[in-house]
Amino acid sequence: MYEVPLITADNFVTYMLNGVSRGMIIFLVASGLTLIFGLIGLINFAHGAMLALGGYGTYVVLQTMDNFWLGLGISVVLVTLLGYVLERKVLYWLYDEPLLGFLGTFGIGLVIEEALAVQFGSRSYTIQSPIPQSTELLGVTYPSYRLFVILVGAVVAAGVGLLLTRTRLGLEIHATANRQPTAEILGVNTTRIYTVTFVLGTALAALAGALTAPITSIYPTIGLDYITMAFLVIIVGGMGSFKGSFVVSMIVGQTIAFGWLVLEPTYVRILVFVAAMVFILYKPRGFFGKPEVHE
Amino acid sequence: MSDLLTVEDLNAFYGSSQILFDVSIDVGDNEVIGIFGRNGMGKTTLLDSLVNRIDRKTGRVTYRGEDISEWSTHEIIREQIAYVPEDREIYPALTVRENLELATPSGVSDDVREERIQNVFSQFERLGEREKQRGGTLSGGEQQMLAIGRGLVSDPDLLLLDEPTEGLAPAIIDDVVEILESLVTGDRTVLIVEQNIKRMLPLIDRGYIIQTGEIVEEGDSEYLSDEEIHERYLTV
Repeated sequence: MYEVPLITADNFVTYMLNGVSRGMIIFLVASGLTLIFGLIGLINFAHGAMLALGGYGTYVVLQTMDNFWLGLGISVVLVTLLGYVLERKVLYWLYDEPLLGFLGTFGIGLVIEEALAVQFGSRSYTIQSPIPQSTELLGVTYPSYRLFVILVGAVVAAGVGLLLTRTRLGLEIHATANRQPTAEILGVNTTRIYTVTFVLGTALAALAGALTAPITSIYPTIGLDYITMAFLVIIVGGMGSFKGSFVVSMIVGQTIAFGWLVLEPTYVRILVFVAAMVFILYKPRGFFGKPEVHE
Repeated sequence: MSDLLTVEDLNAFYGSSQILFDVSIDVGDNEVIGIFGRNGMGKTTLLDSLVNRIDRKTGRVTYRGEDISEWSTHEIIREQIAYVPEDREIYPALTVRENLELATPSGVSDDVREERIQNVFSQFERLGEREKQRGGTLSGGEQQMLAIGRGLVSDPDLLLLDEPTEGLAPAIIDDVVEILESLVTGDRTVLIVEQNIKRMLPLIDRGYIIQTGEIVEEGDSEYLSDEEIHERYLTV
């Protein structure tokens, strides 16, 4: 007979916070992915590779300059610049060809992963937490760095949410995503909007890579692990829905954290994917599908 | 009267289909020009060509003496040209105010933006009453008002109107024509595309009739009021 372990109040809080911090990392990846898909309609398979680059970039700078925060800043900036160049020079020309866009980003992702494997080998690297202290919270002692990740995720969620709903740029992104030719006749430079959104999405992936490095470890295919979960999140959350990505990331984060109490990690992932498949059968547009995009 | 907009030998294509054939028109400063024709004759394609919303075109479009033939749509619009499309193209999930804010040029100050939006609300009171309502919940007539209002918040020198009475109930058409009357009396250049020539003739200075992609008649409103012309080119 399989026994479900009893959980103390302290453990419950710890698992819950683990779920939130994991959910925040998934959200950072998924939000960039959903922004790019929602606006451009591009299924960006290179997104995971951008996360990996963010992690490795942080590692390299940390090794040479011995400063995690500098590494985080430099790697996010460099990966964002790479995203800009990729969008302008390659992907922009594939927007009208979804299949080519899919294959193109898949190819770019593979090249980056292979390049990382050649340069660093297939072994994983661990980065020491830049905030080694712990903090007392809700009656438990919890790693401060993980709380920092939760804080960053919350700030990014609020910031991007405000940008999308309260600013002129947000209006222009909405207009371009919903009907690009109309946005143009209202004077919106939709080419610029595509670029800004892609670059923002890439920056979020790089940030996720840099932040996750001290929590897990980094290896060439780390992006693949996150991107499969992120795809699940954006499908269940509603393709193109930023709000949906946040809610489902949190649910997935909690499911994984508490699932580990009773199941092996691999089985927890299988459980998450099966649950998502069943959900999509009953609600194909996801939690927050945006029907106005298709009107 | 100096020319604001000149179109020379315009040929327009959708895919491999040619829609316009050597179309030439000119629009003077503060003129109100009508383009008339039956359905499918190329009226909308002509307007789309002016703002580069088509697959391909040849010929030359000059605005204020500058060749804008190769400019992108938003670059043309930013030259204070407003385009009110035939099917209104309101953003259904955005509120009335957000639709108007979106159409206000990004360079204007908050005060000017607000002043222009309030001007639209004073001109179209029903829009003011529905300021926070989503565009998709408006009636057809209200959506047409919003589409025209969206054109006006950019304070355009040239207003392009594509079939503003299309698909509206007769009572609403009267309202829209009244609005158009107020628009054309100011010092604004207007290019109206319409099937309903009889309702538009009192508003225009000159006009063109388009038939299967070619300009077949042009003249002032008196000349275009000839029943024989209507019979030949406009009666279904």
